[in-house]
Amino acid sequence: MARIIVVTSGKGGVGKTTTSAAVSMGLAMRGHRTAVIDFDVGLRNLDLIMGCERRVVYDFVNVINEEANLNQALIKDKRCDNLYILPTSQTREKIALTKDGVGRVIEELSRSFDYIICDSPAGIEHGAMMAMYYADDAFIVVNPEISSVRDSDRMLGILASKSRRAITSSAPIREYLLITRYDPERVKKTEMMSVDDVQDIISIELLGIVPESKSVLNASNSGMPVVLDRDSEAGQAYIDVVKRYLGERIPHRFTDVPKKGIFGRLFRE
Amino acid sequence: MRGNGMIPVGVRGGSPAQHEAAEAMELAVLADGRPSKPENRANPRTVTAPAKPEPVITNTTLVTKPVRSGQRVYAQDSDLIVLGQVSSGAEIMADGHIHVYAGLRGRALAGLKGNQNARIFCQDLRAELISVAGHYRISENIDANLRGKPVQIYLEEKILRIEPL
Repeated sequence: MARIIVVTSGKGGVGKTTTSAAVSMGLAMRGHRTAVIDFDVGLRNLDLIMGCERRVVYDFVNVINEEANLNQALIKDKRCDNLYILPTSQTREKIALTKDGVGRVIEELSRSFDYIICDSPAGIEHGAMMAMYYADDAFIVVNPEISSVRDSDRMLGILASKSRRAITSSAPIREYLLITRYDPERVKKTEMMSVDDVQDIISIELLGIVPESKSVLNASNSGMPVVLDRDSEAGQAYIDVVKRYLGERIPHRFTDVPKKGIFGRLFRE
Repeated sequence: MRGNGMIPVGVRGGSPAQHEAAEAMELAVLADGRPSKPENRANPRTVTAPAKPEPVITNTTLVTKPVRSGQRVYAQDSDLIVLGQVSSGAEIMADGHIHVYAGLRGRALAGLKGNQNARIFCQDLRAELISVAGHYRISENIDANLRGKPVQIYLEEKILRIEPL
């Protein structure tokens, strides 16, 4: 049976799709068969970030409507054999996702995959509800700013009351926090919420801190999950996230301002 | 009874039907456990009503998880104990008292049905709004010195009091 992970946040633009792409690639590179599904019907993006936008024939909505079978719609990643992408429709609306249809697709994927990543749309409407409904685990992506924190808090409330696990009174969804676009320099100047400030409100297990980094935008533009950019801090942070999720205990990085070398200190004044 | 040389003046206990029968015989219906006053005879009903104690809340609703933004918890006819934090944008309500043993950042309304004796107890006051029996105060009007402190909140002469614990 696959583990179903929803990547969600409430607020838009915080890095859900970047995280979905990076985490799915990270899991696949460690040998786990992984499928990543784009739930943002009408605003298809995951295929761009994964660099497979020119290979989309059938999509998630076609499979739900039984116009295509799953194997026709799944796109195999060219860089990693264990990774498959299920793109969404750009022309339909969110309402095309039905609870039964989504459940059927997830169940079918569960038979042949280890992990299923559901990339949620922003908001708390139908699309986001469908993305989180079947989840076993939730990655809550939050930026260190108050509106993102409150929206994520709201999302946690919804996970605890409206998910399948909540409705059937099964073991609750495991919740993990990812703080993205973190800038230690600005935190030091008290222009940005610190990890502790965020954790004070959210208080769930912290899976990782991804620093603000130019490499994220570069990676997105070139259709390469940032986790493949091993030289970048963001790439390393996502590798850590995947390791921690799989049970490794490693200390958090990228929370402090990098120490300047001797030249930096000499020329600072 | 009268044949035995006794004069009944009132009844105590019994069912409403028996009370009606007693009234028809011009007997006073006495409040349970309390000696009647002379005016009871004139209109026994109005006296028994206020003598009824405030409905005593004996139930307790226990919430062990955090109450997240957008969630509402209402403890009907009961006290409410919350062990997790109450996030900003969350709402907790009770007909009785409210106890919060973590950060209270949302709204807390005690004595929702008008119980003026209800109180709010919390360990870390950062609430958006607090209210007891409809007397409320918003965050802006809460003394800054009390923020983040353990406090109790209660009504005194219809004025909301916030007192450090």
